[in-house]
Amino acid sequence: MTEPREKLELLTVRDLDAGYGDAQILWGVSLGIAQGEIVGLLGGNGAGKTTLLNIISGLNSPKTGSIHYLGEEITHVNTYNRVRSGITQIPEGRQLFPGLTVRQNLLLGSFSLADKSRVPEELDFVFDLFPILSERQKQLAGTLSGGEQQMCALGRGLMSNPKLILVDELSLGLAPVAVERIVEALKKVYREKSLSILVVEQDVHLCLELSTTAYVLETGHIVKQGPSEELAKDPQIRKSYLGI
Amino acid sequence: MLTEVLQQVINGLVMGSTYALTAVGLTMIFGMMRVVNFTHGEFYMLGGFFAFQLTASLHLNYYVSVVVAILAVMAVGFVCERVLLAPLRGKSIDTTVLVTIGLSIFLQNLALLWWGPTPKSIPLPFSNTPLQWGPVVLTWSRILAVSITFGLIVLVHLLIQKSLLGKAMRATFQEKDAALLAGVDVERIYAFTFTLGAGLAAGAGVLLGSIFLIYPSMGNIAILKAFIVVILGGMGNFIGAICGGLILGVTEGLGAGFVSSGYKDAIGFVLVILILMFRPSGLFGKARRL
Amino acid sequence: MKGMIGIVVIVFSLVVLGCGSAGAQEAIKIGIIEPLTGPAAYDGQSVVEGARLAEEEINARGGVLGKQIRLVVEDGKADPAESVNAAEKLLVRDQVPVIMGAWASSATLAVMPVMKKNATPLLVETATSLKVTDPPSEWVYRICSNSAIDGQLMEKYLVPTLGFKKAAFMAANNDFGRAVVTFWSEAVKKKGGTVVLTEYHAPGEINFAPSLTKISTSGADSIIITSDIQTASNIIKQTYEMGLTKIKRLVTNGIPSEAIVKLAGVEASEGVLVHNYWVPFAPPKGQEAKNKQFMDKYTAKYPNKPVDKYAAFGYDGIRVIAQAIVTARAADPVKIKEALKKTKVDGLTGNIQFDDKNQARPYSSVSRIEKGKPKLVVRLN
Ligand SMILES: Nc1ncnc2c1ncn2[C@@H]1O[C@H](COP(=O)(O)OP(=O)(O)OP(=O)(O)O)[C@@H](O)[C@H]1O
Ligand SMILES: [Mg+2]
Repeated sequence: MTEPREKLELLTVRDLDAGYGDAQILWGVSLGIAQGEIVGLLGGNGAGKTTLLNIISGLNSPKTGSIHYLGEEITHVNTYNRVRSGITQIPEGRQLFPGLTVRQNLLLGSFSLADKSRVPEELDFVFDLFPILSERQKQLAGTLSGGEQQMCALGRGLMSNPKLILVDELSLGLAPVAVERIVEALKKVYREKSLSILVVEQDVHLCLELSTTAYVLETGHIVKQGPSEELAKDPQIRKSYLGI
Repeated sequence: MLTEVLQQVINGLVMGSTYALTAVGLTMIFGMMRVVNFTHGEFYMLGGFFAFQLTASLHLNYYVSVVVAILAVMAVGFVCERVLLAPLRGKSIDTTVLVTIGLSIFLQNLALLWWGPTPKSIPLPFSNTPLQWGPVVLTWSRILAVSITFGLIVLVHLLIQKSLLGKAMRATFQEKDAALLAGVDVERIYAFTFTLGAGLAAGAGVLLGSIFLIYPSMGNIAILKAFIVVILGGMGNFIGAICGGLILGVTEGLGAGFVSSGYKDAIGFVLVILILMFRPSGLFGKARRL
Repeated sequence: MKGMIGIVVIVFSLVVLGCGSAGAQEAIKIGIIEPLTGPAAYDGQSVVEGARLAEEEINARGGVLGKQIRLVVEDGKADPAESVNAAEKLLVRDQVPVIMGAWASSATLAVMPVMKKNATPLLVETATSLKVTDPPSEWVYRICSNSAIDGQLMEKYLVPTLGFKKAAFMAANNDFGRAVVTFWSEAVKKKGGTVVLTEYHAPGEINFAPSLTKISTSGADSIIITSDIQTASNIIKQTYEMGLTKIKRLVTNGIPSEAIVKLAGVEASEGVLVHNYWVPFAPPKGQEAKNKQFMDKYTAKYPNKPVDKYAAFGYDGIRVIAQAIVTARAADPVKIKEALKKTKVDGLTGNIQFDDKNQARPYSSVSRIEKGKPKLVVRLN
């Protein structure tokens, strides 16, 4: 990699080996996200995408390898400190707090904000983004529809005023209309806030359309990486992921 | 007959409220941390003995002693959690059970060494002459116990429902990973939950210790009742623990009054067996509520 | 795991070496099973303390058969299973030729077959259930009273003198409590009284409001309370708190009045009748000097504890055993058993000698607590 690119790098993952117990899932994975960039991560079921995101957010820890964020090593930093420094993950399957209301879910998203006076502003931003959440404020999150839940999950993630969002399978189990709404919202967030996004998606079209750079993960190895436009033309990818 | 029923129900509510107070902590610790805390009875016992030490030996004001005793047990609970349980995070439930059983035996014997086996009574600042209210007889210590118990329960309920910390506790309980991702320091929540639970048990110990007597093994029965209540109310269910405690207290009172006092303790176990047979997740259904 | 085994091995060797190196091949061991933990620990400790005084005295006088005696104390927790374990430990590990114990009737009854199997005598110091000596076992001797004797002795007084015409019982739900209820009920009924209610409680129970509520509406004029010290005191405390002081209250089986007053309070214990065996304030005639000597020694050694009957029975028990060993001329279980039959000791608790059921007859009396102090009401024998 060249020098100037390195300077802009927000997150650098180097040579990660990781797994659960004796089973190794990730093999020497390296990946970089520049400031203001949207990076895509492609891969089939069980490739290790969620595992990688969990390691970046600190839910899991790697066997070897390092993670640098804003120039500092954070490999052994606690999850909540990573959240505090601006990394947020929108977990696969939403993982809302089902027994809390929509509003409480959102407010918990800003738990890590040192400056609590910002909370109303962040809340307005989310409600503006998803007016339906404003209507459903008092409803228990566990009773929302799938699409609403995904909005709430994304909203909760935004409440911490992140610099980097890790999005895991936004489109999972949602109707195309709902996916479209949420993708539009994500684009709007990207335009209005200066942040970077790592998008994990099984929907390859969507993933490559959103991102500028993309990585392909297969059984724990990065097998391809490059500008998303080029990958979209890659015959192998077209064959195995797009079915063309 | 009717007055007897009334008196038995009131007797039951007095006992039941302290059962509830002990069980609330136990159920919270289990629900949140997946730790079956066998040391809970010893926190209860220590509450009684600390209050005894403060009032009888240091001649501190009774009410001050109650507060200080609860705080002191919370400190003990905090240290136990940090030193013994925190390093075992993520280990199987059996491992932590062994540790809490060991700790319980240790603390009980320590109390036996320090205070001796002689039962003690906590000196009270008021006379315990009976108060006759119509057909019902009560004493100040019982009225006080019930009021403080309900006060504490309401306080904890508000804390959990209204405060940000409480919401973080509930979030951790419902989706631990998501709570971590929201920036909640889950370790701190665990430490707080355990400390709070210990304090509630101590509160029950102080209050019941003021009504009855205190001795090193007093926690054994207390924890047994607390387990019954937790199963009745559903593991990890706060409201369930409160209702379960009151139900157990009143059933025991009525059972002892109108069936046979010899089987008073058996009543709790019969309730548990029935619950486990017909409603294994507790009287109040859904196991995951906090 | 290896570490664990290591620790276990070390602990074991310490125990084994400890036993050996105490050098006591010379000493004659006497086993003792008492509750040292749990709700009855207070009483069990008293027995052991009394026994220790006797041990000291005997050893100071040169021991028995030219050897020192040494008490080996095990915690039976007043629990049948634990007490059986304790007995087996004493018999197998320590090879004691005689045991004193096991405090509770249920525990004692459970230990008796073990004694028989090992052909070793048991001296029962405090357990009062009739079944301990009826049917009699050649291996079991009892220096404390039993409920049948107590019932007979009380018959003359309970209804006629004390006026227990409509009695209610509150008794521990075990062999001891049930035996008292059986024989004291007879004493009431034989003199025209009735038993209106019998309430059993589990050992360790603390809340008696349900039973007392029942008694308050049953028309009972008196309550007979049978339990351990803390439970009995708790019941007294709660009778007062529920306003039942007009009902006569009697605590059976030698619970010390001082303890009741201390635990239940002066107000709550006013007027409470206590059925005593050995008591500090009313020694049997002719025993005054010896009694004072014992109490002074005990108080010097255990300054924070009032002397109670458990200490006296523990003290007498060891003296009886020592006497029997002297008569037997050997620390041999069978010979000690034979010697016990002929043993006579002028004890603090009574003139100890065993009848054909191996039962001694200790002194007993009834007193009343007035302003926190016990007053003798009547001597029963
Ligand atoms: N907690 C866990 N314990 C053990 N194995 C796990 C655990 N979580 C995931 N795995 C395994 O790790 C492998 C990678 O899982 P991961 O969730 O990272 O895949 P993924 O790429 O996100 O898949 P998907 O697209 O289906 O979400 C899988 O084989 C999975 O079974
Ligand atoms: Mg995944």
